[in-house]
Amino acid sequence: MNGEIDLKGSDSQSRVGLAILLIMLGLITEMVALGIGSYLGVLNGEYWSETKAARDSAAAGSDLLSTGGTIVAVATWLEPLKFVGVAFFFAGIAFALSGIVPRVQARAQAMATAIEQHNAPHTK
Amino acid sequence: MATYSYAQGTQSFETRQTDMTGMQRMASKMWAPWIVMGLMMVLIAFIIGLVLQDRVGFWFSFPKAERDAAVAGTDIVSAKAFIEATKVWLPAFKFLGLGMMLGGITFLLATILGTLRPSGAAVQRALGADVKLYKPAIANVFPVLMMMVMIAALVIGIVMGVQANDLYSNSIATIDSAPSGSELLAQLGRINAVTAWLAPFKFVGMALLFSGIATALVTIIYVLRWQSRRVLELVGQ
Repeated sequence: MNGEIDLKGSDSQSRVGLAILLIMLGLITEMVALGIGSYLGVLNGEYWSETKAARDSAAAGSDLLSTGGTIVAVATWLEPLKFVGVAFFFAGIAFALSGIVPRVQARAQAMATAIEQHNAPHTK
Repeated sequence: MATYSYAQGTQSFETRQTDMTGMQRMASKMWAPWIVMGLMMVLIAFIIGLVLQDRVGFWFSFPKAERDAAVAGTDIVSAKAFIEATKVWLPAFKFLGLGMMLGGITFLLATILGTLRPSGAAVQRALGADVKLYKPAIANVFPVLMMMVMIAALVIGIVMGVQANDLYSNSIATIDSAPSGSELLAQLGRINAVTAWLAPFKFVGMALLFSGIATALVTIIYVLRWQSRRVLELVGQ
């Protein structure tokens, strides 16, 4: 009977492995987004410390105009990147949840084996 | 010590709350209040959003020339100050509410683990065996610590909100004509700089909470596997 019980749970283990990998990817994505956000923070600090007149009259090709463009451009993809990180987490959690199913099945099999063993002497 | 037991024939089955770890006992009491508080915070954020809509409507009911020329202390400038300050701290407050709900889910998963633990002990006792309890190292990750990032984000949001309120209590004309190196421009730079990194910082907080949930799920898998092995070990399989 024990031979039929997948105690090693190779299927479950691979799902756990995948879940951990996805969680790590999610954490890395969010950390990268924070790093880029911090850099954007420095650029924002520099840009907004300039007078409005200077910002509005910045010439084409100037550092100030380029900074303003970078702030707006990076913000457009930084927001979706943060959600990509969240998506990795949801996928990881889904895999971790799916890994519970085979373990519950194996537990039931182990209990059934134990009960069979326990009842065996009484039925003789 | 709370003890739950039932007798069936000559056999008795007993689960003891003392078999739970301290964190699991706390989690079993905390998950519901955390979820309720989180939900309330998100609802409060929604109500504040409605108030904000009213203020924004008031602000845009004036032509641009009148808005820009409004002097400090007038209703127009007060509305602008309220709008800008709220825009800074409200997202952090919403995220803290969501964070509390995720923390509540983590606590609930810890409660499931806390139920598995005494149940496993009860089975071993019923079989007359030495009680062995398993706690994977991964189970030591503590959700309250994960909440610290969200709380820090709210505190920073409030501080920046106060700064935004101070800044926008000045007329638009005053802010626009602020000379280079002035305190007003420094404040404007600070608010925009912090807002830029505060958004990803909140997501890092969320990431830590999601990691807590995933960790709890993986711990449940490890505990279930260990319990199956232990049952078979006890019956000599």
